Amino acid sequence: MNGDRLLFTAYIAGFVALLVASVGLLITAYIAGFVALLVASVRLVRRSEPRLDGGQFPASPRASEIGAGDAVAAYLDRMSGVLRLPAGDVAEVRAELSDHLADSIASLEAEGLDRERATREALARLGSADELGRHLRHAHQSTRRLLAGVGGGVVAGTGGVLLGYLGAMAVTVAVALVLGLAVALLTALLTAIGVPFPDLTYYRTEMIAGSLAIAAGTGTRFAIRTSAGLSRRTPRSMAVPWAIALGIGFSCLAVFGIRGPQGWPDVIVELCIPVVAVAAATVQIDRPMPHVGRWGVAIVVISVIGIGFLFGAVGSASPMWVQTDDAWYMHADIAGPMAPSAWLPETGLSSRIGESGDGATQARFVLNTTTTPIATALANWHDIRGEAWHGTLGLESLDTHYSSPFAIEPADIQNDAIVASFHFDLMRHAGAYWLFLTGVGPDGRRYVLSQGGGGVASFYGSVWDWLTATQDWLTATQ
Amino acid sequence: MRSAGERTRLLEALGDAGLTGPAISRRVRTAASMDESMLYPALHSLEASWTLRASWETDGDGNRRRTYRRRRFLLGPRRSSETS
Repeated sequence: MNGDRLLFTAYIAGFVALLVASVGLLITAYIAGFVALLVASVRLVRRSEPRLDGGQFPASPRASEIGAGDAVAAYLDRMSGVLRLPAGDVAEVRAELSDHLADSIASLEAEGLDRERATREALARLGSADELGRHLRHAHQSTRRLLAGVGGGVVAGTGGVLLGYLGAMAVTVAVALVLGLAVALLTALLTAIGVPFPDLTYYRTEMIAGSLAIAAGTGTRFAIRTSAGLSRRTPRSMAVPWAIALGIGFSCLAVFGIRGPQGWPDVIVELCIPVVAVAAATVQIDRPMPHVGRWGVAIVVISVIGIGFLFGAVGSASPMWVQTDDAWYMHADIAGPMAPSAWLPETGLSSRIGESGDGATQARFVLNTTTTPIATALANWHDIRGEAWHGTLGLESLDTHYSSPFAIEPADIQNDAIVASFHFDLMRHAGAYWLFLTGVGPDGRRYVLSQGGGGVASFYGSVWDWLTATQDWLTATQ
Repeated sequence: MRSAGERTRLLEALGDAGLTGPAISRRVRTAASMDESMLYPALHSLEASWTLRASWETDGDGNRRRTYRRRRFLLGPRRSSETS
């Protein structure tokens, strides 16, 4: 028996150990893959940069030593004009041909030719400068190198997007925290009261979209300059295809891919993402990339901490709802007269506001007793519906600027409750709202049966959802 | 590189040694008639196809010169001054 128990314990321990090891391996593989991508990306950029700026290759001094003169310089200049290679390759080819010509001229002079004739003969052997430049360009810009450039550009671009996003998020979170702290301290000093922590979630979409715009710019430059270096093409010649591809890709991401609270500022920042990518591809693409070293790594580390903090802040945020079971709020009479108590169930109706699985805001009205079905209790009422009225920003009362509800939904009887559902997440300008249950009484007039509470709603979805959202809720639902 | 024959002649001229462009040019001129204007496009094409490896090396006079070697995958010695 003891042996069986031991065996069972060993099985369980083994299973748990296997599970922990598997999860550990997955997490380790994920982190390792992430780090490897960043390292590969930075290394590819570092490898390409010297080739693009041309500072790495030595100019051969031998041609000037032997006094080959203007003829050689003019020949090399003409050939360089046709090459259309990155600056580093041009410098390298010039140095090599200069060395070759110096050697060739010296050997012809040894055969008895004077300097001028030797130079002419050496240049003639190399053929036309234009032809040589074209042949060299074709030799350098092979299909294999083009494929390597595209592949390297994709890897470097992906790493650049990650690096740019994390760095931008870190900076954004840090700035938001510093500003929030400064405001909180100032307010605390002035009012000597407790100040709530700044609500970062309010600007969540702008922060994410702004960081993605910076990431798009970084990734685009990483991709173009790396692919140019690897494929031996100038960054400018690679910019157009990359700008088209990334412009389309980032446009799709901006319009359909980012879902969150939306408003015109959010939409504008999100639409900046493809614009930044195209601008990064076309504006001063020949300028060298800034060196990414230890500071880059430091930014990534800070980013991970900052983003963890941000997600924590987002995760702890909850919709703001106000229940008003007991108090009749100010200016509620705008929504209509309260139903005479004689026509209402004796126990009264209580309400609860919440969120359904599909993101709709639900107001549930239930009888305070379970003995009578709600349909029976409200039998002398018809056309019962939920109404949403604009409230003031602080939800102190209804907004007196409006004389009609901004949204109306039919109320459904579900078991023991009447439920009205509102998709405020698909409305552009819901903002602060109050919900009411209204119905037409025996006298044919509409009365307020119960107040359902209030809240603050914001549009939730993509840019496409925002742009195609209905402007007038009542027109769309009635 | 215009033909497989020229490519073969160039590789044969190079042998197993590391040679500069002018040195290869002299060997090719001695061994066979090859258009000198095609020498560098051919060398650069072979380098782009990973057949040759080029590096800047300092000669006895202190001049840095571009030197070509046949690429030996897995077997050949690595050189620290490789630039391509």
